[in-house]
Amino acid sequence: MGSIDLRMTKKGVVLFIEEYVDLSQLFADITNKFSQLNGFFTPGDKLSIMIKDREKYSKDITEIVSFVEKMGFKVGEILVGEMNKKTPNKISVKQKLNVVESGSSKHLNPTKVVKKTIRSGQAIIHDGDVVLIGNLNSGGEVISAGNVSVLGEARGVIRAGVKGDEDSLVFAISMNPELVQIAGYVAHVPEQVKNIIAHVRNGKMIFEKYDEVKFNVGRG
Amino acid sequence: MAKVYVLTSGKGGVGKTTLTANLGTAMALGGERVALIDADIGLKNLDVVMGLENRIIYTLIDVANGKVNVFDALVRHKQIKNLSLLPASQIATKEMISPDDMKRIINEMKERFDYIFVDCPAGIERGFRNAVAGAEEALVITTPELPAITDADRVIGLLENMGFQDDKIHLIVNRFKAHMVRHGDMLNINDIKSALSIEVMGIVPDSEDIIISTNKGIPLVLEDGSSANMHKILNGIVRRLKGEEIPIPKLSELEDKKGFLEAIKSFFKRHQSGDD
Repeated sequence: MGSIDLRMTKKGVVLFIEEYVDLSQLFADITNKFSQLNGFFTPGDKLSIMIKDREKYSKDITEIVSFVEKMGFKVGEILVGEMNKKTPNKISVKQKLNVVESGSSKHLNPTKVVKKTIRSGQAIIHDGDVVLIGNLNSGGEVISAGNVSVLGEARGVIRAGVKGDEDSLVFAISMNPELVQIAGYVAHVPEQVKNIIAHVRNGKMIFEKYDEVKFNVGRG
Repeated sequence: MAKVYVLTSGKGGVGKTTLTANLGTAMALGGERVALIDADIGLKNLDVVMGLENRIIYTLIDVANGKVNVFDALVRHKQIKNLSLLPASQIATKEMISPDDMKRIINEMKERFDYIFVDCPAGIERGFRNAVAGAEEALVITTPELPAITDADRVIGLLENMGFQDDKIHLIVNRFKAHMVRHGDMLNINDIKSALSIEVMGIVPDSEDIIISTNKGIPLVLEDGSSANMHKILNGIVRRLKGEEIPIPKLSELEDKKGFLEAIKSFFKRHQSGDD
C-alpha cells in the first residue's frame, strides 16, 4: 500500500516516502525496494530522504534515518516536500537539513556525541540521546529520540523524545531556542536562560534550573 | 602553486568586492603574483572597483566556453604588473558556468600565480557554488550586524558541508565602528566570535575613504596619503594570509586618528573634488 520511490535528482538519489501506515510496513517496503535493486548500490553510498508529511517527519524521522543507516547507506539530506509526478526530476522542497556526520553513527542507539557548532541549515538526527559539545546556532536543529544536552548555547530548534518519550530532557548551558519540543509538547523560550533543564511534568513542559529540578517518580 | 581564497558572505553589501580588490592589491604590492577572479556573473563590480572596466576584452564566460585561453582573458592592472583580473560578463548569467568549469579554470591559473582571490556573489545559490568550487580556503566577510552574522553562519555551515575544514574558514569583520562599540551600540568582536565560534582573521574599520576610492576606481591601498591606518590594517590581514603571526589590532588601534592639520587638509580636498 505504502508508496515509496527512489528517484535520481540533481541532489543525488532521493528516497521519497509519500505515505505509509506504520513504520514496520514502511521498513518492509524499503527493504523490498532495495532488494529489487540488488547490486546497484554499494555500502556507504549517500542518499537523501524526503518525506511528504511534516507531522510524520518530526515523529518518525530518527527511526527512518537509523533504519536506512543500518542498511549501509549514508544519509546526506533530510527533505520535506513533494515529488512532482509529471517531471520526476523536479522536486518541491519545503525544508532541507543536512545531516551532520559523526563517527559514532555506526553503532545505533548509544549516545551520539557531536563536537562542533551546528550552524544554520545543519542538523543532528539520532535515534537515541544526543550530547552536543558546541553551540546550536539559530536555523540549526537537533532531533533526538531521547535526551538532548547542549554544552554550549542553544539558539536553534531542539526536539527531544520525538518518538513519544515524555521522560526526555533538554538541557543547555545557555538556552534561547527557536523551539523546544519534548514528545508532543512544544514550547517557546521568550528570553535567554542559563543552566536550564526543560522537561514535561503533568502534561506541561516546564523549565527549571538544573539544581532545582524535581523529576517525576523513577528518575533521579 | 597558488593559494586560492574565496571571499564570501551570504548577505550582500558587506564589502566582499571592496575587500577582494584591496587585499589583492595589497598582496600584489608586496611582490606576490596575484589574480582576482570576479565570479559575480551578470552583476560584475570588481572591474569597476579596480578601475579596469575599459580594458576588458574577454570574460570568464569566454574562458569557460573554451573560446579563449584563460591567460588571454586576464586583464593586467595599470600600475601593478603582477596583479591581474579575470573579469565576469555583465550580460551572461550565473547558470552559464558550472562549478567544474571554475575548478578547471582555477587549476590552470594556479601555476602562474602565488595568490588567487575569488570574489563571490551574494546568495547561496549557483553563483556561490561556482565561486567556492575552486577555492581551498574561504574568507567569510561579515559586518557587526545580526542579519549579516546569521547569513555568515549559514555560509560557514554550507562551506563545512562542502568539505572545508574549520581551519580553512576565516572570518573578517568589515565596517567595524569602534566608537559605537565603545558606547555599547554595536556588537563587539567577542559577541561575533561567540555567535559564529570561529577565529577572527581581521577587523576592518568603517571608512569614508573606501567610498571615495571605490568611486575613483583606485583601491585604497594604492592611494598615498589617504588613511594610513587603513593601509596598516589591510596589510596586517595580508600578512596573516601569508602565514605571519600578526596580532589582531585592538579597539583603540582601529580608529583613524588623524592629526588636526590632516583633518582640515582632507576636508578641503574632498570639497574641492566635489565642486568640479
